[in-house]
Amino acid sequence: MFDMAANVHPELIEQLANAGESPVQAVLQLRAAHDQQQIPSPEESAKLADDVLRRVQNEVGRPPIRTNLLRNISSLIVEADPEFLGSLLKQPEVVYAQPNQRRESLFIPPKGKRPA
Amino acid sequence: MANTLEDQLNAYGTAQVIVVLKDAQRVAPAGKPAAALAAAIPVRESRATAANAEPVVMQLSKFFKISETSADSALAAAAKSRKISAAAGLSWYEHAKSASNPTPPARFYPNLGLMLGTVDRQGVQALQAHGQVAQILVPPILSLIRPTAVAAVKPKKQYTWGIKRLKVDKLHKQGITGEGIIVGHLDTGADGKHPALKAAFHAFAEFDDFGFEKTPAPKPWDSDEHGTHTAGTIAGRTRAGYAIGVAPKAKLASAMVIEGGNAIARVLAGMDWVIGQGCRILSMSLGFRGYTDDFLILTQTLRARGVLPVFAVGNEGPGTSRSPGNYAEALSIGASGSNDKVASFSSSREFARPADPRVPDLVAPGVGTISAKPGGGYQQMDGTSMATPHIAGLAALLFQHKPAATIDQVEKAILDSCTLLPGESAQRQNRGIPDAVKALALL
Repeated sequence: MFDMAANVHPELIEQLANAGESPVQAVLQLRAAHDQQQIPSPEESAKLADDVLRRVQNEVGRPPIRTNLLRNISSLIVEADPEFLGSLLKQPEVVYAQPNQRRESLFIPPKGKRPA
Repeated sequence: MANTLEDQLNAYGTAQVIVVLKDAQRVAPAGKPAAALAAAIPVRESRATAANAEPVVMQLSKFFKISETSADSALAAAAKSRKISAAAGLSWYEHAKSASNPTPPARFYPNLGLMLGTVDRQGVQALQAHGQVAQILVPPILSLIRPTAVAAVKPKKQYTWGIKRLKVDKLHKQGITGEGIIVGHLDTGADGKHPALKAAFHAFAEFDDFGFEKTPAPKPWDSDEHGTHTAGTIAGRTRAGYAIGVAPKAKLASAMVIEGGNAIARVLAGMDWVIGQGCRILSMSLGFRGYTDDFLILTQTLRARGVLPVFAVGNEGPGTSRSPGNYAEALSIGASGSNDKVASFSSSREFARPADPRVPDLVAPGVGTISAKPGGGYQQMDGTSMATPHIAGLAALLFQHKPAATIDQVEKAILDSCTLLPGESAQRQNRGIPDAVKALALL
């Protein structure tokens, strides 16, 4: 359904497939297209995000609903319609994508607790 | 102090007594004990309440007398000496003494079948002779049960078993306490009012579901209790005799990322923030079941930014693991008990990868771990979540000792300090349990 360059988590594919025209939230990892082993600096991350969002906006003809760039870890959180995200996932700078909202919790419940 | 009937009569001419009536004069108990006390009413007011006992009680009340040594008069005298309102007691006593307005000389406790009042020697004799009196007692003097010895003490440091097992207390004695080191802590939050934690924060943050930091930054609080416990193990200060913190002078950059939904953006925002806070270590007792790449690039990024990722491996037992605690790039932590056995719940798994195929990398104390409880106090928890902050704290001690050390060097020192737990398989414990003294020497 979506032609994607990135490694995409199956739950995100499922959310995009079922979204219709509703917005979806995705968490992306960015790398420079020419060197995907190198971890970008915060400044490079900002430029990568700016470039890739502008490119997709020009292609789709509208902006995302909102974005949040986590510069220190080169992560870009995007809320957008499925068409915008589908185009974003084709960009060579996007190396991994997963849905923001997950079915499973990360919480590891303790096995037991007692008063001290 | 005189406290027999005879002593009191000899000393004061009167004595306060409890008169136990024979069973026929006892009213059926009414409800809770408090109700019985509430029924301790002056005899004059008892007529309607205990009609069946009335004739006997009224007869006996004649043998009691108002006295300056009675409890009521003592209250009145105390009120006078302390200049308490006369209406509260003294005027009552003065009023009660007047012949024209006889105040009830005794109290009757119908549910108990007792009368309490003051009598002189003649009154005692009359009561003893009365056919409905079972016994005459001197009221016991109630007082606080005091300890047999009291001495001021300075709370003694009571290290948790985990701190002792890792030999971290020996580093504390050398002045290595994590001072100057900031440890990242992503969890359910942490109670900043807890005595062991209130001085432990470098910063606190809370992120919304899209990863935006809430502003103004809230004061540290816990949406659960998991985070307060793990924070206490990393950097809890010694309070009330409990030394719960492995690095009790380290500071926490703690963020609430896990409660109320499963938004990945919150955890990532926490990781991003931890790097910005200048942390050398990230303690994260969180993870998805099984193996997933979702945090792989992020864990590599943490390392590239100089942050040692110390992650829990999971609580699902042998043959299981959680991500990111099962990455080769993470310092993966399982749990052991004070009996030097790997906890049955502690996850462990072998992967078909050349680097670091076995997880966890090591085990640490994670059974019966005493740490902070939200709202004050302490509680024990079991889990690899409890083992993980022990190692994050140990890393903080090593970074304090050698600030220029890289995360690879600190990690290697911890791994190389491990000794195997006897009788446990390599699959379950991998390298075994670290030794803080040895790790310090190896760094």
